[in-house]
Amino acid sequence: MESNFTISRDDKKSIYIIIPAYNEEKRVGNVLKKVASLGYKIIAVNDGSSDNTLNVLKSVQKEYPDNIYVLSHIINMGAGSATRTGLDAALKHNPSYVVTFDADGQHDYNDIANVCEPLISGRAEAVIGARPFEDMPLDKNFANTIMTLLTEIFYHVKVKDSQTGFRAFTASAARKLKIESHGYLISSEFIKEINKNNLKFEEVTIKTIYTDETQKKGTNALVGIKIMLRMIREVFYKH
Amino acid sequence: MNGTPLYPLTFIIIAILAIAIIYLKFREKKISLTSFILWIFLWVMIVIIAIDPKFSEIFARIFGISRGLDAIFIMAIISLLYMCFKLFLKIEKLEQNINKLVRELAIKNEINLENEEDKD
Repeated sequence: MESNFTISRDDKKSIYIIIPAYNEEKRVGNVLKKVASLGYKIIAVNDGSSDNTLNVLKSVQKEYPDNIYVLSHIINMGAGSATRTGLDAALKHNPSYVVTFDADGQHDYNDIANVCEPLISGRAEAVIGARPFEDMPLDKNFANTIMTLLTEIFYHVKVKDSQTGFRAFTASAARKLKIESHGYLISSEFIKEINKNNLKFEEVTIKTIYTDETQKKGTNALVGIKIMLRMIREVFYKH
Repeated sequence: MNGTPLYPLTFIIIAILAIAIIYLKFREKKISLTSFILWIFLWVMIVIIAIDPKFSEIFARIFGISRGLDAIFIMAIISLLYMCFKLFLKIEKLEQNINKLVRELAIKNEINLENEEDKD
């Protein structure tokens, strides 16, 4: 899917891209520079990294002082937590749209416009960027398929990709979401909340760049089992 | 006194040490009154049963279990499970509190360039 949609400069200023980063010193710098040079605002959240991530964030912030806000967790709290911190911080700046984006360079920058397009044209209040599973390495394909199935079973929402890190919301929609998890369960929780709040919702197919490095983290089989246990527990807790 | 003399004696020594530690912790206000009473009760029971194993049969009869030792095991397992559950809930709560703290701190102390330059 090639993007023909372009976002005006003014619109870009009110789009806040939330980038949670944990031990991403090698890649987060490039990701931030690319996104900032496209003209978007960035909320970068260092999630208690033990490497040099925070300093990388700060040095990129010096290059693009008007575009980047840096927040830092003192200790590692998980991808979900960092995303929530980013969301809270972004909403304080009165954005029109908020986008969550992975720090490891697995997403394509040009997709930001594609994912925001349904929001700007008013067709949707929430968009998730679905990764085509055929492109995934086999173990990730398997884990993500299972997770998406589980999301359907537990949260009664059918989506193409439940574990994506690429999502976009209008500010008013983002304010309605009550996200509580700390780790990777957050992806499914977003979908649950979109459904619960009856938000107009669209899935946009996005490109995923799989390199050896971007494969290390994310939903592999083990993470999948952990997410499943949490979902089961949540169902028993709340009903 | 029933049983070999060595085994009740070991239990009594361990129990006295444990009670002493619990008492000290309580005096330093490191544990609450409820847990102080519960722990003391637990160790006193252990001492009583160590001195006179027949005592456990009273429990067995209350719960309708034929052997005293079985009753002790069942009670021990149940109380351990209960404690595990309690700990699990407590840890979960702590995790949530820490999470809240870390997130609030991050949002309150947004890193901005001026502050950074002051440090350099």
